[in-house]
Order: sequence, then C-alpha cells, then structure tokens
Amino acid sequence: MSRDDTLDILKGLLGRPQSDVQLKMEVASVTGETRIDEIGLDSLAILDFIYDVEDRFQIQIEIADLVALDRVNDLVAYVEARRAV
Amino acid sequence: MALGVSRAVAGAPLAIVLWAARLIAGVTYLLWRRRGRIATENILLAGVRADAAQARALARTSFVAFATMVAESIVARRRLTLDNWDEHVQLSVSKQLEVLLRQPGQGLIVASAHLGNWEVAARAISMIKPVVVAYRPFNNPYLDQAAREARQGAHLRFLSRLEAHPMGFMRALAAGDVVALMIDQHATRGRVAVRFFDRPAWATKSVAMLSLTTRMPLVVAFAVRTGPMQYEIHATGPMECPRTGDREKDVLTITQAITDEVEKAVRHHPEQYLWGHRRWRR
Repeated sequence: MSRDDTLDILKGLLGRPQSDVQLKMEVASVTGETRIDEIGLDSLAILDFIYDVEDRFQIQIEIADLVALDRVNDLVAYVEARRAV
Repeated sequence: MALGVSRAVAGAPLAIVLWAARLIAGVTYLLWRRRGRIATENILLAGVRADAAQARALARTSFVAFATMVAESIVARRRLTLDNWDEHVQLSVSKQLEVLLRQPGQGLIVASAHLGNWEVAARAISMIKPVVVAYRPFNNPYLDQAAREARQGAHLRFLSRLEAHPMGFMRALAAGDVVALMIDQHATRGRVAVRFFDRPAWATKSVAMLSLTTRMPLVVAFAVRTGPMQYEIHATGPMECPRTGDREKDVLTITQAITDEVEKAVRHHPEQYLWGHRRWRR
C-alpha cells in the first residue's frame, strides 16, 4: 500500500459522519500538509476518528505518539510504520 | 462585581459564609419556582421520596446544598493549600487508585457528577496530580473568562468542551494529568441512551470514547460533604473497559456502568445532588 493509498483511506475515514460534527474544510481538500488541528474535528470526533484508524489498519496508536502528530502526513507515516511492525 | 463578591466570600469567616449561603438558597428556592418544580419533579421521577411534600423538602435541601457547594468552593480557592488540603478532604479510594494518583506521568480519566462538591474535589486532587476539567462555557464570554480564571488553580485547568482544542484532553492524559468530565447532564449530541433511576436518559459518549481510545484508567469519583469544609472523596475503579470489537456496545456498557455508579451515590446522598437539571429530556 502506497502513502497515497493510506492518505486516501484516512480521508475516507474523515468523511464518515463523526458525532454530527461539521468539519472546517471539505474532506477532498485535506492534503498531507494539512494540520490535524485545522480539519475541524472536535474533542469527541477526533476520538471516533482515531478509533476508526486503529480499526481500519489494525494498529494501536499510543497516546504519547498521537499528541505529537501535527500534520496528516505525520499520521500517514505513523500508520505505515506501525503496519510494518 | 462578581469578582468582588468572590473575594469577600473567600475572606469572610466560614460560619457567616455558610449562613449567607443558606439564606440565599432559601430565597432562591422561593423566587425561582420553575427550578424548584423541576427539582421536585425529578425527585419524584427518581423515586427517592414517596410523595410531593417530601420531594419538595428534599428539593429545598438540595438548593441549600448547592449554595453551600458554591460558597465553600470559593472559600477553598484561598484556603485549600498544598499544606492543609488533607485536613479538609479525606481520600476514600482503593490502594490501586492511590498508587495511580501518585504515579508521575500516569494519566487518569475521572468521571463525576453534580453531587457533593465537584469543585473542591478537583482542587483537592490537583494537589496530588494536575487536573484538567472539561466544562461547558457560559454564553457570555466575559463572564466565562472571569469564572474560568477564578475556578482555576496552580495545577487545575478548565478546558471548554466547545473550544477548538480537539487534542486538548488527550494531551493532558499523555502528560500524566487527570482529565475530569461530568457524566450526569442531558446530552444533545455525541450521546448514548442509558437508564438513570430506571428511566431513559441521554448521556455523553465522551468519557467512554476517551477511555476506549486512550486506554487510560477510568474511575468514577465524588466528593461528599461530611461537615463545614469537610469532604470525603469516594472513588470506584479503575473500571474494566475492554474493546470487544463492537464500539457502540462498548460505549453503552461503559457509560451505563458509570451512570449506575452515579445513581448509587445519589441514592446514598440525595440531599447533596443537583436535582434542578432536566435529566430525562428526550
């Protein structure tokens, strides 16, 4: 699976209805350079999203690692590194 | 003005503060009839009192308890210190939880309710481990800022559920703080249907999702008032919160378990519960 594939899957997960939240940007316009904080997930929606990511990629995201992620590309890299373990 | 009143309360003798709180509660109960009616209806719906007269008496008592809670919370801001907090607040928790509380770097999720004194509870725990409280802000931003600044402490922060800090609570947990959330208010979104006093109610999914996603220990805790500026913190947990593969079911199981603990505590101390909130809205 390429980085682009991983990014597309993450965007697909962002596009799922997350706790009735209206995102600040269209999912289609999210890129690897987008900062996670800027997407517009609220404190509950981000929990749903992280849960989805763990489920979809069958990985466990450590909370200490999670809070250090800044951009979507960081999450893509983290997911890929975890899947490779 | 609010700041001035707060300073006056914080510096006044406790007996006078408590007398004034009882007086204000009595007047408020008389004038704010709608809130008194809601409290009485809730008490009857919960079945903790048998008839309307007893329910009204309990509603009035709970008004006094709330005014006392506010007054003692303001007093505690000045008088509860690192050196003396345990003269006012006793911890009645398991050895396991005490170890977690005193372990640096160990995050902890605390679910609580509007029972006893939740403000003093957070302040006392913050003497052991930094606490971040999730709160619902006032509509007026100036009042909200003033209230938030007054309620905070050296290791006690209030973080709005509505502010754009999606990772705020996770960052606090990752830093080893306590994240405290109230579970007993009617939730309008991000919610799960539970039973409270055997009646259908909506509760927030946030506590369960925070636990399932971060895998941090989850406890339910309350500070019950035992006398003037005297409290006992009771806690249950850490609770078992495994992922079964069915997220909705897990969220319901955890949220119902917490709600059951709230109900149990309220049944023990109904006079210290905030009954004036429409808990069973649809």
